[in-house]
Amino acid sequence: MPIKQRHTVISLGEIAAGEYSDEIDASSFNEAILYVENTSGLNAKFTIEANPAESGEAGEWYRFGTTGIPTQVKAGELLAFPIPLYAYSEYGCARRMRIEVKDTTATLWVELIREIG
Amino acid sequence: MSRQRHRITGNLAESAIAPGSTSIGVDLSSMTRATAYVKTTGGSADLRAEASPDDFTVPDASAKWFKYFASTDNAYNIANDSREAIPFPSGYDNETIGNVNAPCARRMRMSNESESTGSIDKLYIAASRQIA
Repeated sequence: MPIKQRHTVISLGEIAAGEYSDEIDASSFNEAILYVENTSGLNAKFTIEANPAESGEAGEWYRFGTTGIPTQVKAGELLAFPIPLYAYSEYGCARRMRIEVKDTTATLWVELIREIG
Repeated sequence: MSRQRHRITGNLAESAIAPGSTSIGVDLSSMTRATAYVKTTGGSADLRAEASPDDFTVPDASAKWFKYFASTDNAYNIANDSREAIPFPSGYDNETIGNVNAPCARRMRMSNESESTGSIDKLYIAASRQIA
């Protein structure tokens, strides 16, 4: 049986405190998982933002799927989360997303997932 | 005949997965949802699904493994001599995230975080996908 590609991983690299990741183009995917590696000695906090504007337009960024409380990854931890965070069901990603890292440096990856290749 | 949408591994715990140990990593790259079937022995076990963003050219032992998911210290506890089917990602924090309907990662494994005696003596990972 041919296997269609349903998963793609993008390395966002090391993001400094107070900085944003590059924009993630998830327009051909349905869902996403965020990987956070915190090798610093401090707890890392981050939020996810989504932009409803067409790709290539500036648009405005909106906090995505949280109650306003940044998600925390403790010092030395490696955690993976379905996007958006703090959702109770029906996980789904936005087509344009970015991650803001607060308080300390963290290294990020995003895995994008689609139902049909 | 409808096309295959479900797949299940053999028993990944033929040698029991002791406290502090993990299963081998499983390739779920053609799947989008997964469930772990677990049987415990010798005591209760604290289970945690782990995912890796590394591709399959990286051996399990060298890959970075991330706890999937939730910013919580709570693993998923299963009583001794129990059989449970747990949708991935396992482990949950009732105050934050429910553990339903989240996608599986392309590469996953199960960790036994128990600090006492509970082992996993059966572990099957079943996965599914939609087909157009």
